[in-house]
Parts: sequence; C-alpha cells; structure tokens
Amino acid sequence: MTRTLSGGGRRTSAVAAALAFMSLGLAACSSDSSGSDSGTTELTWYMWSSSEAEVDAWNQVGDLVTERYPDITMSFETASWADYWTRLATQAGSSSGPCIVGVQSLRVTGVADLLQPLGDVLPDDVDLGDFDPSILDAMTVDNEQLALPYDFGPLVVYYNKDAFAAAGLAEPEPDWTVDDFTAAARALTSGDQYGFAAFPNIDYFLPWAVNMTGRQAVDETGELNLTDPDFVEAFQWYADLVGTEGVAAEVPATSNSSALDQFLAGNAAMTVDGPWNLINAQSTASFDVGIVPVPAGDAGQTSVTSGSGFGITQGCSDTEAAARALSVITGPDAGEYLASSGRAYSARTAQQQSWYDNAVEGAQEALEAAASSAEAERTTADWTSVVSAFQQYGTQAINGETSAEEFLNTVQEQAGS
Amino acid sequence: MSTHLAARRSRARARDGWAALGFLSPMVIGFGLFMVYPLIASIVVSLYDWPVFGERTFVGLDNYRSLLDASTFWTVLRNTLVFVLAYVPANIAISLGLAVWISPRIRGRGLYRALFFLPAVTPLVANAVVWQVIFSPGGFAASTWSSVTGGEAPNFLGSSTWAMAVVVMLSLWQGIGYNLLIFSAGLDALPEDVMEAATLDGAGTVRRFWSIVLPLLSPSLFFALVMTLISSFQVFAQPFVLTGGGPGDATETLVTYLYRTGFERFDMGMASAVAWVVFGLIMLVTALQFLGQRRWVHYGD
Amino acid sequence: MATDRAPRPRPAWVSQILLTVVLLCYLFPFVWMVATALKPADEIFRKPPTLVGSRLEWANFAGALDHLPLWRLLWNSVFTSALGALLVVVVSVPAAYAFARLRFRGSNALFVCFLGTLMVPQEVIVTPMFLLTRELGWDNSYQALVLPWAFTAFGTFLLRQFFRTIPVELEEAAMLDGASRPRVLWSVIVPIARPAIAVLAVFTFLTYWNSFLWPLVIVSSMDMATVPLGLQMFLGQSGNRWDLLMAAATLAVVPMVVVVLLLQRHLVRGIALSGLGGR
Repeated sequence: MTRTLSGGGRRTSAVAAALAFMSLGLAACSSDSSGSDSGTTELTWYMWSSSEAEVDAWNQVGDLVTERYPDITMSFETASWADYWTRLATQAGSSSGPCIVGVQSLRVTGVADLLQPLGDVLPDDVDLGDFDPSILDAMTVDNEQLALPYDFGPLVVYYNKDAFAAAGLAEPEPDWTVDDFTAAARALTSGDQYGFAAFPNIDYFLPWAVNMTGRQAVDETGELNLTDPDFVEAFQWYADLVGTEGVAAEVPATSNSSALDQFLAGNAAMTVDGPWNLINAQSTASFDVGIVPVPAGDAGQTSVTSGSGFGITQGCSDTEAAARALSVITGPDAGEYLASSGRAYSARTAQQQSWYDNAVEGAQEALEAAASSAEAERTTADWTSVVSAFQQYGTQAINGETSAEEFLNTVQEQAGS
Repeated sequence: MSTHLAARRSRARARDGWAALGFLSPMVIGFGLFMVYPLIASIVVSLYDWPVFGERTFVGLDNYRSLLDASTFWTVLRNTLVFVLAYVPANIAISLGLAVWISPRIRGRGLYRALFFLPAVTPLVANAVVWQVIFSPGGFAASTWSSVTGGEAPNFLGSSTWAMAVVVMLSLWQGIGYNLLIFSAGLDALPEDVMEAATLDGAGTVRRFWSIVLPLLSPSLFFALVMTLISSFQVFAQPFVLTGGGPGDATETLVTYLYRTGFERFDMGMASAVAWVVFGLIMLVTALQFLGQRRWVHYGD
Repeated sequence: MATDRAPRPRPAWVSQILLTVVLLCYLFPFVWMVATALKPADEIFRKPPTLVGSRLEWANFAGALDHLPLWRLLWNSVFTSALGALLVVVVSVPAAYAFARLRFRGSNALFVCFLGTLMVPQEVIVTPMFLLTRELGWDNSYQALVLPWAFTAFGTFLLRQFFRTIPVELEEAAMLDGASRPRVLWSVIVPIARPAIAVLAVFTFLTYWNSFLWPLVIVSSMDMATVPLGLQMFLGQSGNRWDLLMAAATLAVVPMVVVVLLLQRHLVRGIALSGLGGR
C-alpha cells in the first residue's frame, strides 16, 4: 500500500536538478510518431460504456462506418461514465487524442473548447431536420452545432404499478399535477415503504423546479442562478418530502445515485429517471414499472431533456473523414440498430418506434406527452463541478442538516464563480 | 595514516565508484525519468493558471495565495487532521493489541494473523463498495443498530457526524493488517522470557508491558507510526469511493480535494499547489517525528 | 516445551475463543459481500436486510463475467502486478547494494534524495506522469501500467537496511578469492537476502494489485483495464448493478484469500527477516 520513511534535506535540490536535466534530455529524444499513408484512415473514437455488451454494440456501429466508407476503420476506446470525463480532460492536454468523442448534452458547454463546430464539415446527406429539435439545441454552444445526438430523453417519473394497485390508487395520468403527486406519495408511504426516492442530483431535481417555477438552474444568459428565491423555494419543497412530509427516506452520501436502487428494491414507489434506464429497470424489478411525465406545477408542464451524441475534436488530423464517420454513427442505420436492441431512445424521430416496441406498456404515451413540451436543459462550462457540489451539499439539505437557502448559496458560491 | 594507505583507499574508492555507477544506473535513470522529472514538472505547473483546455498563463504564487484564501481549503485541512488524529492512534492501538493478543498461547497464530491481514490486500474498491452496502440506509448496520438499541439508526453515510466515523472505520479495517504484521514480527523477535513476563496475567502485567515490552518494541513502533502517519495524510480512495467526500464537505480530505480541483474542475495549476501543500505537511510531520525519535525509540545496539 | 512452569489464571482456550469471535466479526464484510453476490438484484437493498435472499442467485457470477471481460481484467492485474514486482526487485537489488556497501562520491546526498521521494503522494505527479507516458507513446499499454512506478525508493530503502545487517566478512572472503562486485552480489548477498527480497516482491505485487488512480488515468480500453477499474464500471450512468458488482468483487477477493492463506507462515517471518519492522 504505502511506501515510506524519510529524511529530506538541503542537498537534495542540486541532485534533483541534475537528474531532472538528464531526464528532460531523454524525453526530448523520443520522437513524434507520424500517421500512416496506406490509403485507409484509422479513426480513434472514445466513448463511455459500462459493459462488454455496450462495447460490442459500439463496435457494431463502428463497422457500419467501414461498410459505408471502406477507406475508414474505427478504433474504439472506452472508460466508465465516472472515469470518462477525467480521461477526456487529461487527454485534451495532449495532441494525440481521439478524433471523435462521446459528449453528453449537459457537459457539452464544458468541453466546447475541445470540439470543432460541425456547421461546415458535415457531409451533404445529413439533414438536421431528422433529429428531435430540443436535443439538437442542447448540443449547440454559441450558435455552433458541436455534436450530433444519437439518443435523448426527457426525465420522467418511474412508478411501481403494483404498489399503486396495492394502495388502491389509480395510476397517474400524463396531465397529473404536483398536488396529485404529493397525495399519491402520502398514500404510498407506510412504515419502511416510502412514496418517493429523492436524491440530490441537480439534473434529476430540475424538472420539479422548472414545472413549479418556470426557471432552470442556469438562466437564459448562461449564468448559474441557484439563489433565485423561487428556485430556493422549489428545493425546500423537495427537501420537505423527506423532512416535514416524510414521504421519502433520508439519503446517504454516495458518488452514485441511490434513488433507482431504492425504487427497484421496492422501498420507494416513485422516483425520477430517464428513458435510457427503463428497459434495464423493468428486467431487474420484481414488479411492473410504469412511467409518466413529471407532474405539472404552478408553471405548467415542461420536460427538460438531455441526451448524448458525438463530436469531432479540435486536434483531429482528418476532419473530413471524421465528419463522414460521424454522419454514420449518428445516422439512421445506427439509430435503428441501437433503438431496436433497446440501447438508446433515438434522437432521430423516425427511429423511435423501434425502441417503443421493446419498452414497457404506456412508455410511448408518456414519452410523447413529455416530448411535446420539451426544453433543453441549460448548463454552464463547469457543469461537472456544479453537479458534484450540488450532490455533496444537497445530501445535508435533503437530510435537514442545512436549509435549502444555505445549501444553494454554498453551491452557487463554490461552482458559480 | 600513511600516504600509502590513503592511496590504496582512494583506489578502492575509485573502483567502488565504477561499480556503483553500474549498479545504480538503471534505478537512477528510471527514477529521474519517472519521479524527479514529474515532480519538477508539477512545481512548474503549480505556478501557472493551467486549465486543461485553452491557454496557460504564468501566475507565480497566485495559486498558493488563493488556496490559502479559500475556506474550503481550511475545511478539508481540518477534516484531514481529524482523520489523522482519529485513525493513527486507533490503528496503532488496535494492531498492537491484536499482535500481543495473538500470543504463542494461541493455536494457529499464523492463520489468525493472515486473516486479520486479509482486508489490507483485497482491492480497496471492493472493500469500499461492500461497506457502502452495509451502511446504506436501512442496510445491515442500520437494522442491527435498531435491534440493539431499540431506537432509530443514524443515517450513517448521510449524516455529517457519522460519515467521517465510517470512513475512519473502513480505513482501520483496511489498514491495521500491515501494522499487525510489523508488530508481530517485532514481538517474535523479543527474547522469549520477556514475552513470558508480558503475557503472564496478574498484577503488574500492564506495568511490565509498558516498561519492558514497549521500549523493546519501540523501533517497530516508530516505523509503523511514520508509515501510518504518512499514508493517513494521503487518504483518498476510502472517502472517494464510500462517500464521495460528502455529505457537504464532511469527508472531503486534502487529496480528494486535490482530485476534484484537478480532474473535475480541470484546474491543474491549483491542484498541483494543493499537492505541494500535502507534500509539505507530510515532510513537516515526518521531520518532527525523526527529531522526536531520540527521546523514545531504543535501538538494541 | 513440555514443562509448563507457572499456573495460568485465564485458560488459553477462553482467549482463543474470544479472539475467534473478534476475527469472525472482523471478516463479516466479506461474508456480506459473498451473501450479497448471491442475492437477486432487487433484494439487495430490501428492508429489513437478510443475509440470504429468497433464492441463491448463482447467475450473478455468470452475469458479472458476461457484463465485463473479467478474466481478462484479472489476467491484466496479475500480469502487471507480477511484472512490476519482478522489475522492482531487479532494479532495487543492485541499487540497494550500492547504497549499503559501496563508497562513492555523493552517496549520501543521492540516498537522501531517494528517501525524500518516499513521502511524495502519487497524486502529486500523476498529471505530469500522464503527459510523459503519452509523450513516450505508451498510453493504454502494459509498460505504462508498470514502468512509471517501478523506480520508487521503497525497495531500495528496504533492501539497503537488510543488506547492512549482513556481515561484511562474508563478502571480503569472496573478494579475496577474486570475485567481482556483481559476482559477490549475486552469489553471496542475494541468497542470504532471499526473505527480504520475497517481502519486497509480495508488497510490490500488492501495491500494483490495489492501485486505482493511475490505471484510472492511463487505461482507455476494456482490454487493458485492471480489476479495480472494472469494479467501478458496475456503478454508473446506466444504473447501478450491485448484484453483479458484488459477484465481481468476490471474484477479485478470492485470489487474495488464496495467496494470503498460502503465505500465512511466511508473512510475519518475512517481515521480521527483512527488517521492515524497523529493526
């Protein structure tokens, strides 16, 4: 584990300097490697994944590229979701990084400096009109399209159909309201069972704030504005689900959300998540899972969407080939493949039906209702640190150790500067 | 001192010099490339505003200055000190106690020592995720608490007071194995009659332990203390995997803060400054220990 | 040994039983790990928690092996750890000998410089190290996983301490017979120092086996990943797979249990002989 023991002294520095000088010389000797000229281009693409099956799926998509453009071969690199952004950051510091990288809409502002605008480089067969407009918009920074989406989704409420039936409740309708939600949550809470699983994830809390106040965490000018009184009040309502209402359990401090775990274990009858987890969730749960849009509040019902796609890096040496590859990766064939295998709710509207065919009953109705009022989630350049501060300090606020106001002030102060 | 002898000595010295060059060069070259060079580079980085994307600018000591101005820094420094003060004495006391307990009177001592050592060698990530499950709300720890005390269990990983305690417990579980082995080796090396005296029950055992065994064990104790202190200042994976530094900043330590600064906020300059503060602290504490060792460490010869 | 001199107030078996109870509590997390690995996914966080689920879900192990190429990850971990241990020994033995026995200019300064770096947290140099390995064209390779951490002062320090306890007379006798320094090292010192070298090899192996931050930064494909990285992959954006994670963790722990049980006799003796205990 640890190595140790010590000394430390003044003489160290001279020796160290000499060694450093020597090693600098060594480093300088290693020459740059050059690209191959054999007629085919190998493009490295980098994307997060969490299982071998996902890697296989992406390699299938990579093969589609070579099928369409025989002069391009794709080499896939990957990391887990949590590690992906770390790696992307460290790789960006060097010139030999990948050409095509996976980007989530919420993080696109943060990695904007790393990506090339796609406006002029995409091949002619790409028609942006085929994509859902809200997710396309979410991948635009300063009016430049920086990435093309392959999937997207509005966050929705997952609910336990069996628990609703057992409590004698009617299942929620797409036009339900926050009051309906609270009433259901109360009726579903008894003993160890809770009506709702909360978690301080800003992206998953946001739909509530938007529906109740009409405000996002980031205002139209791109500034983080967590301390707005309406926003604070919305969060206090959310925290009170745990505190005064007692319809949700206290949360642990973890780096990975526990809400879906609690929902799937049957400890909480409702939670918020995205369509991308739906097919997995249904296969894990021992009850029937239903989904419904996040209930309407005083500001109506708006669905905040986010999604993922791919962009081309600034350091890429063959932008033309990368753009052609990108058009296939986010193209209709890949979309069809990912949707029909249940991997992605396609960002291309024409391909979404294949996904519905696999999903739980009522998913189509709920998602179409949600998509009809979709709005892209706005983020800031350092969204990662906002998410992480929100989660860390939000745990205390949800558990009632601090007030919503204190908490949001802290996050604003730490991440907003 | 004849000149003849001196000449011979210097010849021997010269021969040694060549041999030393041969023996040392693989290590020195690798060491220079993979330790000294990155070390120097990180000093340089700490003097820059060094975002991962975009322009880097020289800012002198600004990173260090704004670090000392940030209230978070003082919080994580305090957390780290709390961790060190809770973890190090407990680790030394428990591992020493166990080492003494697993005396020659215990059958299968090797097996006991090996099994207590086990958590030290299983992957830390594996250890931490099990603890996460055990201490989750409504999990095993909470339900045991409720059935023993009859009251409601604390939210172990969600409460600012408990989270650090769980991080310390996980670190102890993981960490005492090494020191147990070190103390066991030290105890085994003691003359048998001393151990006999120490393990005998009755009046004076405790006193004999303090006045006879402990001084004889002091070199091991010193070694274990130095090692444990240094590693405790660098604590990272336990809070990182178990609590993610939360709730709030209750379990954020210097190194998790460093990681967050460098790899979440992508501020390499500031992260390198934090790194050098950690390094400086460790140097200071270790130097103090070496200064203090003459007072209480007794080497046999 | 047959003559027990003093009567013992507290019988040994009481102590033994108490110790066994403590040990079982101590190992309880491992029990929970295995028990959880055998539960159906939706029962892991069910309240109240039970040690055994409604059925034994052996399929979790197959699922974990299916979810990630775990065998490959185990192999990567074993291979890099073993290679790292070997390399550290090969580099440290001559260096330690030079510091222990040879008199040369700057010996002390260089040694102090070495020792100073023992206190450098890995985190301090991870970023420049990453840029350096990238510059060498090594990223996502075995050499990148192994080489950067093979030149630490720990091994040199440990062996130097041990070498100094070996009587000089043994070497002088060999030198009078005309043996060269490398020959002396190989045929006199190394055989005597075997326990210390073994301890160094084992501890280095374990350091590599458990390392987390560096693989996190340097590995970019599934086929180069190590076990700790793989475990991380079960938690994340597309839902947490605690059932598979616990099965995979069990698979990662078992080899260590075997190693520790096999080496149980040598663990303490090795440390005693190596001088790692501070004497």
